[in-house]
Amino acid sequence: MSNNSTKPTSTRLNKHLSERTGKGIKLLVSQKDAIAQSGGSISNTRLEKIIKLKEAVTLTQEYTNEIISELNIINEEVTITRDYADAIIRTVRGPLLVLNKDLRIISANEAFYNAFKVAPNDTENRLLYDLGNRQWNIPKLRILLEEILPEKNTIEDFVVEHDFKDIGQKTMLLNARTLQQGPDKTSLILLAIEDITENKKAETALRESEELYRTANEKMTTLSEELQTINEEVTITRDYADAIIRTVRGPLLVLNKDLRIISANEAFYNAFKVAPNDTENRLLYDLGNRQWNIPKLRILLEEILPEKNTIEDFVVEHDFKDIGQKTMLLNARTLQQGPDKTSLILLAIEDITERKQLEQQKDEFISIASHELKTPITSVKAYTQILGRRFQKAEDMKSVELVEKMNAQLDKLIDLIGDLLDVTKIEAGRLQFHESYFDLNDLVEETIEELQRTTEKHQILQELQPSITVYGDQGRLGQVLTNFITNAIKYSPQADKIVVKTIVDKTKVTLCVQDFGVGLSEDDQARVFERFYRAGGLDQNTYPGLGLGLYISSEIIKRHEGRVWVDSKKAKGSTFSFSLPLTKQSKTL
Amino acid sequence: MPNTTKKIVVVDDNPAILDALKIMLEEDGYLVETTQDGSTITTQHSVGSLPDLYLLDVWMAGMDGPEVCKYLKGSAATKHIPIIMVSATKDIERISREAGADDFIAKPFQMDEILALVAKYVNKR
Repeated sequence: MSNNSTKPTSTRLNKHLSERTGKGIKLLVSQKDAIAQSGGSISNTRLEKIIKLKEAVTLTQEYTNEIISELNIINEEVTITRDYADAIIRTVRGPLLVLNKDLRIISANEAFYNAFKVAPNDTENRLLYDLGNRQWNIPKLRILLEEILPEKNTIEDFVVEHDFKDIGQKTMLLNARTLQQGPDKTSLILLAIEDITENKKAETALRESEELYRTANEKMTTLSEELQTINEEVTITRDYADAIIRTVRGPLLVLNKDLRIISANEAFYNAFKVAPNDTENRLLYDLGNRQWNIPKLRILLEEILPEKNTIEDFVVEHDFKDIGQKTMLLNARTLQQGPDKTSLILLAIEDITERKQLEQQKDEFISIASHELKTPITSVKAYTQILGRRFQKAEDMKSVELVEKMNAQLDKLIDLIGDLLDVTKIEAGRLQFHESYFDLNDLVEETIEELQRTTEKHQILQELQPSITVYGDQGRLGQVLTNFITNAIKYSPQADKIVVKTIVDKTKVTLCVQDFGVGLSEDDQARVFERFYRAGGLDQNTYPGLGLGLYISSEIIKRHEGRVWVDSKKAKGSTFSFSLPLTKQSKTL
Repeated sequence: MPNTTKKIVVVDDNPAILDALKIMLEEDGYLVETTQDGSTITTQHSVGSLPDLYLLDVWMAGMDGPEVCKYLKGSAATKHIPIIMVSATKDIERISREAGADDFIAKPFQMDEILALVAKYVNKR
């Protein structure tokens, strides 16, 4: 049954009804007239009337029956229509609710149950807002149903977004319609729901895609601009690099991987007396009539650089025909350039010929200064001792005492000169060692014996473990021990003893010199081995010195791959220690 | 007791040290000859006046200590005479060993030390 056939059916029914009813009334009127006209003969007339009335009744009954049968048809049609409406409700793919005016659910379709995961039992006759544990109590829906719909009766495409506990965030498009039904004009509300969440998502996705596309486009534009900027920067950077090469004061070469010269700077041309025309695109070794064919340079560039990529301070000495003997310090670096990762080699050359000569001169100066300073002191000291011996022979003991004091002061002067020279050598990296195996206890005992003569107040006590042979510079290690013991004497004027200990274990030998003197603060302990550092600060007049001894000692121990340290407590005393690693050859005697 | 007949030749290019050593050794009873030029002792001394000991400075103008030492140790007439090298250099031990000297002493020296060392080698002979 189609929707269109409903109207003709009802029209036909009305027509039919009015026709039939009209017929019946006409009949009654004509019967009444007939009775009225009969007048005199009542019985006949009455009879006729009765007959006619009976006929009329019969007729009316027939009509009534017809009407009832028509009504039945109508009822059937209504039922059909209702079923039809219900079927529509049930069939439509979108969720559909029928509510009464109190917003209770009269019926809902499968699509609704499916979409919103609710059961018919928990839905029908319930207040819409109470559905699914009041998940439907949606403010915007209330506005739609309670405020907008009563005014407008029809609402379309009303968007409601809601986060349902069970089914998550949903975007719904609502159509709502109020209709009056039945003889009492009961209000019904039809509520059609379209879940456009996916659409919305798709829409959002689309929008996002569009946005992305737009952004990508913008990015492309930006990138393209950046690329241009980078290109410009590359040009600038290249110019910059070129400018650096041209500007650096030291000679600089840029070579390709075949060791052909790509570019060289002015400093190179000036230093090595070659012309750009004879340099660019030439093989490095061929420069200046193959003067650059230097074996050590070949080793650097062909063997070392390919492995290490960066080389610093590589010394090459070479006698160039045109410019003479040169000592060069080379830094070399391989770098990949451009899209094809072409190897380039940067070769920076420093001509240290002059510097090396100066260093040699400095070394010679140190040696000469050492000799020249010691020579007059040696003679003064010799004369002093001759005098001392003469006074002794003459039994002039006061003069002997004076001469001994002079001698002691001369020894201090000699030590100071020695320290200054040592520091100069350390700074120049030219402190030389003469290493050999020697007996440690012998060294300790000799040193103690010598220094015991310089102090009357202090007993220098020995706590030595069985001796061991040590590999090192005996003289220099003796110097360290002497420094420790003289410091111990100097900084413990009130004490009467100093303890010298050795501790031998599997890997090292440790030597400690303990005093019971003024001690060092923690700050002093941390810095006491620094060059020119002098402990105490304000007390410096009390304990004179250059602040070099411990620095030299620590350098000597470091050069022996040993360790030097101090343990101290203010006013309790200090223990200065060094340890030396034992070599395989070291052995207990 | 030092023997007064023992003769020592001292070679040092510094006159003050030479002078001080001469006084020291003479006061200890030695006969002392000094020279500032190492080359003179390779030419001037005659066999009859050979000393009992040489004290040689290492660094000298002209012929230096090791050269003189090698010369003396290389010639039949003098190779038996003990040589003590004297120097302020830290390398004194190595230098004197390499030159073939019998012993060495560092400058500045202690009078007692040098006299003891000289006595040790002179009295050996």
